Amino acid sequence: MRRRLFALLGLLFAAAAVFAWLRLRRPTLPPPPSTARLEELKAQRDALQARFRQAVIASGEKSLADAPRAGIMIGIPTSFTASVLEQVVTGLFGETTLTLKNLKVHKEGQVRAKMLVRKKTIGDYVLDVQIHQVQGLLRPGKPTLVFGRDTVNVTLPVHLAEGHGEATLHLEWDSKAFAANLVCGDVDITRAVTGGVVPKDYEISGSFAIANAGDAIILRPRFPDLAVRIFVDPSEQAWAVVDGVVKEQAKGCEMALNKVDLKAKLAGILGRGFNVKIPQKIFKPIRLPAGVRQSLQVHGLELALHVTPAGLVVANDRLWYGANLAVSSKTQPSGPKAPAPPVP
Amino acid sequence: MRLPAFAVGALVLLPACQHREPPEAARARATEAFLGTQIADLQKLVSKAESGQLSSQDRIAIGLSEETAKALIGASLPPEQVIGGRIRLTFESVQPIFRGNNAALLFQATAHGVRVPSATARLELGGGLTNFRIEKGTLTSTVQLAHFKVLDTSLGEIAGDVLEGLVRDNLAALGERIPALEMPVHLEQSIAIAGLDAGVVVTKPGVLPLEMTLAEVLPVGERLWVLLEVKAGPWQKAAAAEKSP
Repeated sequence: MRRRLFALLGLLFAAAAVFAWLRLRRPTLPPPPSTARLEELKAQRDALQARFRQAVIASGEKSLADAPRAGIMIGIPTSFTASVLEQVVTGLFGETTLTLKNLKVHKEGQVRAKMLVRKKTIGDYVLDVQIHQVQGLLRPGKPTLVFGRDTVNVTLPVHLAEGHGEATLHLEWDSKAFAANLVCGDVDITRAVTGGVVPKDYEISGSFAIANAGDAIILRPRFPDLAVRIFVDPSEQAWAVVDGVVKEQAKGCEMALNKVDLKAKLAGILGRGFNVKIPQKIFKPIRLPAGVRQSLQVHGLELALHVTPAGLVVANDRLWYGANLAVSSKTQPSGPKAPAPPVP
Repeated sequence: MRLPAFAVGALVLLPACQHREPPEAARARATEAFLGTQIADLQKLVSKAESGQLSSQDRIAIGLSEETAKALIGASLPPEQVIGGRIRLTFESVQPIFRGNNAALLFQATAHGVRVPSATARLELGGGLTNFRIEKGTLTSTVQLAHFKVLDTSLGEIAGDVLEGLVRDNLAALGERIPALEMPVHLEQSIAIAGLDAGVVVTKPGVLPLEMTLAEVLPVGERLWVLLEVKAGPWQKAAAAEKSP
């Protein structure tokens, strides 16, 4: 009886074992792919990658083949670079004022007039204009940018406009002849006048050198100083003041001062203009906004990145910058490293 | 009645009475599957590029080589991780694979028993870079582990299966401990230009705001390409100009 029970249990166990093995065994896998099969797939993948590259180049990425091959490559579109340059240059010049202060112009001379039979000096005049301040605003036009080899040539039209200023006009008249002294006497008049600047167009030409700044592309300005000549333009009020100075004198004196021709003298001395030098340092280096980092913080670990520039290529479509990085960390774990597996 | 206990134990152990597939065979199988995925993804990408739907020209292109990514991720691999209180897992190396429009990562790791340090196993963990984004001027992506394989073990088949189970249950948590891959590039959000106060000539400083958004991620040709949509402007004037010496 006992032997039968054991036989039955043994049978049951055998059946359960077969059932469990069938249910729980790892599925039978087909044979793994052969090396030839894997090579065939890699070749297919590589052919598709080459076709993709050709499609990208055909779509306009002409300079991709010339880009410096490096650990990190950055390609900045020339269209974007042009947009940055255009906006920076026009933005800066759109906020530029030229201010002349405490300028003095002086003119003196004699006035001669026919007295009975011959010409005689009837008086000396001294005309002083003190320009307390005259200010002009620059208005930039649309710059022309031409990308060359490692440079961008820039031509920027600039319009000098919207000037205004205040000045003091001082006239001294010293009558010389007896008759002149009798009919006019001496005059010493000071009047406040206003004016503006004569609008004028200028053209600024220079370039930005496209340079490798170690971790980014930098555009370095190369512009000469720009000489601007500001011509002060007396306002209607100023001419009215001059007219008034003459007219408010006695008739004889008015005639003498008319001989001075104050308006012409004033226009003459102001018409020579004033030189202003716009220094080249008005242009600043422009760092393009994508560059290589010098360090990284990863989970509290500071990684130092040693950047070695690998090249800079200025193409029609992109500015390419390449750099190789060496990574080091102060707390890098040491120990044996597993061999790298073959890469699919 | 010792027989039933023996019988139950034997039944439990039975499924393990099959040899683990050799690592080379497992790797060949994984490689075949991965190449199949790459080919399928590339076919889509090629058709997108050939039909003119892939725009790149006005975008900033950043390309990171597999080697540089390997150095970056390798230098920041997490220290030893304890899984389930039983296994110490150490990441030994990483191999980024930027091919066939797939940004994959293959980690090599070793596992030791917490109580029996002499019991070791070698694992291969696979995953990829996902969730690419720009955060505060940094281009970053998340490492996500997807699968793993115990390559060889001194633990025996049964303990190897236990290890597989432990790693499987903790795969997501393990992935979270691997730092995100930060691309080693700085992306400025504006270009600030100083003004000038040279007495006669005064120029106000200004700022050119920049807007960068992620447009495409293309892991092809052993390089991870990231294309950024970028807009500049309009120019904004700032407060004061620098005093010229």
